[in-house]
Amino acid sequence: MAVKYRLAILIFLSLAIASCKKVIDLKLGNAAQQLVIEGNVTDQSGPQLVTISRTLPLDSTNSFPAVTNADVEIIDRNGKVYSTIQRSPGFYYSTSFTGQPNQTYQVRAVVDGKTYRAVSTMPIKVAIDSVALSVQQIGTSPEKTIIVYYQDQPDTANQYRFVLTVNGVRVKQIFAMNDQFNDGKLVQAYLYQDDIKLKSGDHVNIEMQCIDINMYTYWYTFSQQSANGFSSTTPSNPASDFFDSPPVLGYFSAHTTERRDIIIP
Amino acid sequence: MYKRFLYILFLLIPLCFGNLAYAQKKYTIDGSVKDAATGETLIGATVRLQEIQQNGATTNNYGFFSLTAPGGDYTLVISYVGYATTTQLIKLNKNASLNILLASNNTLQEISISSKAHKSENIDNPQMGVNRLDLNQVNNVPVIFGEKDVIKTIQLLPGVKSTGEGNTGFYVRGGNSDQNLILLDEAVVYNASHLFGFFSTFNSDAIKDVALYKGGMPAEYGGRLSSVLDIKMLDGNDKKLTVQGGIGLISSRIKVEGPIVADKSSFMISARRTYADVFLKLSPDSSTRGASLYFYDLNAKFHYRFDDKNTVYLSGYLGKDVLGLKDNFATNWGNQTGTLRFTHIFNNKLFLNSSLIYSDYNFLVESFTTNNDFKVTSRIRDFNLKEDFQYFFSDNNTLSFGVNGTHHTISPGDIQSSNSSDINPQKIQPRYGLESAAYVSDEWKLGSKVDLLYGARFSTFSLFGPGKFTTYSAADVAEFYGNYNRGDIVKTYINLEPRFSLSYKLNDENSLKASYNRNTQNIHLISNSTASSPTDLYVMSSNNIKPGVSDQLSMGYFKNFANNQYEFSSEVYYKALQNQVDYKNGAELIANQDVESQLIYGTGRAYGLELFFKKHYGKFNGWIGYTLSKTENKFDGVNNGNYFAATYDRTHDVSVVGIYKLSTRWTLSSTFVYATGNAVTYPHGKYVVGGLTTFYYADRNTDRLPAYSRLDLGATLEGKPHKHYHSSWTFGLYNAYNRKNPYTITFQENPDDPTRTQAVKTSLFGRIPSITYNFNF
Repeated sequence: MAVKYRLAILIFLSLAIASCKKVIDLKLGNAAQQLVIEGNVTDQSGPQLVTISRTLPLDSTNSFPAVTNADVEIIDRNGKVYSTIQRSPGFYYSTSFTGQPNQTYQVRAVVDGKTYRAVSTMPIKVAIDSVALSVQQIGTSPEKTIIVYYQDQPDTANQYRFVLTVNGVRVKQIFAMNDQFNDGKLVQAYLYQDDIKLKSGDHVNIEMQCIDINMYTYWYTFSQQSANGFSSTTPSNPASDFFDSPPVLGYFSAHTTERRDIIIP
Repeated sequence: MYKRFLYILFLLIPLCFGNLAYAQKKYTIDGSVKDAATGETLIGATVRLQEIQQNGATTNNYGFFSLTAPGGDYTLVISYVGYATTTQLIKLNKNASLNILLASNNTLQEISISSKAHKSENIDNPQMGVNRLDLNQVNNVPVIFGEKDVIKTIQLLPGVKSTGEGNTGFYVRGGNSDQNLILLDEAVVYNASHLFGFFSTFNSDAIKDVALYKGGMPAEYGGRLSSVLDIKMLDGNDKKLTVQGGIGLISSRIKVEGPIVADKSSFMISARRTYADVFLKLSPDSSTRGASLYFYDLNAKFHYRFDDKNTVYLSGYLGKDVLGLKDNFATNWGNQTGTLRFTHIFNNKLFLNSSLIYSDYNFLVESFTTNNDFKVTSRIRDFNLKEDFQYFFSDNNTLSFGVNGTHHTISPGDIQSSNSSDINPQKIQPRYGLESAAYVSDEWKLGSKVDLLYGARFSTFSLFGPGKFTTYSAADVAEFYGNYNRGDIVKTYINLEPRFSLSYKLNDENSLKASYNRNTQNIHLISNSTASSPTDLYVMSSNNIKPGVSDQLSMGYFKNFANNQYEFSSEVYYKALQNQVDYKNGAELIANQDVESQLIYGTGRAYGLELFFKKHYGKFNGWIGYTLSKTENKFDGVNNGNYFAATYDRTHDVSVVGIYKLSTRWTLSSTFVYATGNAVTYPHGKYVVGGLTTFYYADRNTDRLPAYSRLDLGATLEGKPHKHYHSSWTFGLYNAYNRKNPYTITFQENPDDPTRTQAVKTSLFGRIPSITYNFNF
């Protein structure tokens, strides 16, 4: 709903105002380096991945320093421990297992003698019903938008995240949705984005994740950050779901995943 | 402390009576001061007796004055800015009522101000922190698209800040934009902006008087923390029928006013509509042709004077913004206000204004997409009954007192949808509140040097059922549920707001003033943007939200010189704010029944220095304003609970306004503004999650946008004098040196080297010329 409103503003701006963009030089402060942990447990069988890295100053190139001296394990509700192996710097793969719905998982990472932990519960899977393409004439050229249909579960709070990849390039827009306004409905989710303009022949991979409520807040806060400036909120770091831990960026998410590949007609 | 204050108050009132008892035989002159050509009452005109130095009265908000003096022969001097001063010889041997007519300088076509007679209101009056706009000056100040705008002009005063390009939101002495009490004929206007803040809802054609109180608010005003912007509509010309209008680039306007019964009754209707969408219709693209983008305003007023003692006024405002794309979505929002007002003069000392006021703000967002249709409506509606009395005890003592009660209904966002829509219909419980207040305020002149304005406002707020009310703990866990029936009181807050101002006149040209006032606020705006947005959410004080409280202390030095042609003032203020409301990161504000679980609470503080230098009249007139200030907020969980700069904290703020009458036909004008950039939060690092480069933010609002500056130019060419009509052309050039002021700064990957990050500045307006044709007959 908010998306629709933002769209209204965008159209107003593009119609009414000849805004002008320019790259500028800014003197920016640099914060002390922070630790970043990103962990995922999915319902696909195989090793589950935890990556650990650090932040960089804004003006440096994107070669994010990997953290190679960590001890990482994933623990399920029954206390079963899945240990990890660092296959490449900063990439910690667990022993093979399949995440189960309604199961709570914990990640535990020890870095430089400090322990970081987070828990996440994998929701029941809601499957993709179908995928469609909306073509709207906005301005002079057709605006193509991916639509994902799914049947929301009635009477439970569900949260979703979508990830779009166009010709192998990840779309920067973050799609976090919940069922506050469409509980139990056959939902028609418009994945509005202005990062990569879709053209005929593009290969698009759509991933749908069912995520828990903390992860929804995490991704939703992220999506607010990348909102256009006109109605933007003061940006802040999304609240990480790590608890009883020193300050750390990133998240740990147990979620279901389903993918579709389409070619834009 | 309150008790003591009340005690002093009651002690002082008998003293004033005492004054009367021992004085020699005195008589009272009362009446009104009006514009000779239109019959409009003049607010703030001074009436004084030349023979008695300290004696003088000012017409109140309704044009009424009362003046008492010992019997004798006097010269009555009546003056008002922009009008020729007139004198009248009177023999005071009985009480008398006078209707005084003043001729406007515009009508005379020459500047003739008998400056000696012009009373220096800013020196004599204890009221400080007030700016009264001269509408003739407003009409000459150049503005964007040639749309003259009182709020844009207010933003050029010291102590008043805007946040950015074209925005009509304004911030007074560190208060947020929702902490301004904006009144149009006494009705609250909730959203005073059109098109996300690029224009204000006030069509200056329909406006008679604009007063902005930044501090030392009189006790008759209450309900907002920071300022009062009191706008009064024209009553309508009761002498002859006139038509006035203008045709501009993006909008046109027309006003018709005239007598119904000459000298007794008149009407005024004024309308304005923008037509940006007319140009869209010319587009070759069909969806652009189907887009709508416009707003309109309608002001109307009617008055009937039964006799010298009784007058009734009926006025209304209707405004709407419409924005939509055919077959996709539509959104519209707007204010409606209505005021039924009755003034009654009991006798030459007691005046009553009685008002019944309606005020409504609503917005609607509608989607027409197949299987995704919905309609969200939101509304806030007030009914207000107000009684204001003024009792003119004696020539040195005026008492104001009154009561008012406002009933609020807030319906924060109902959703309707069809059966085939994937959106569920939803009804959010409306909330009902009653705000009541009683006030008493006394202006007392102690000899020739000291003038005291003291009083208090006693305000209560009650939140009523029906409905389910949830109380959240500090950790935002629902702690307690209560179901209330219709009329049950959920929560009541009681506040006493002392108001105190003092002036000490050093001599005829210099005075010192000090004031303290407390204000409270029970309607809170929860907004997730700096631009005015129709989705901004209003909530009332409740079981979770406490009334906002502000305490402001200010002091100032005021000086007039060269026969009051020049005015200089310097004021310092300190303001402390309690119970400020903000929302948590990632909060969902639209159509959320549990929105109060999404809020955080904090405090604020603001202090500053304001310098103001104004040349009132002459071939060249205008002003220079400078503000040095600091505004900070403190919220739990933000910046580790330390104070941080508010977005609108601009350290330096300069405005210069100059108007030059080149010849009888040409008037040139110019404004220049310079301000420190807004406080913003830039990323202070980057990292990677989810395969994307992401920004790391450190403390809130520790960075600054580049400084803002702009020069606007304007020129007015009066048409050749004509027997039946008058016309003029207004030319404007907004942002004359084409400065690309930053609207936002965003960060992105460098397209040439995706491993690097670059900052991108977005500017909205470059140089914008405008032209308007104005006419009246």
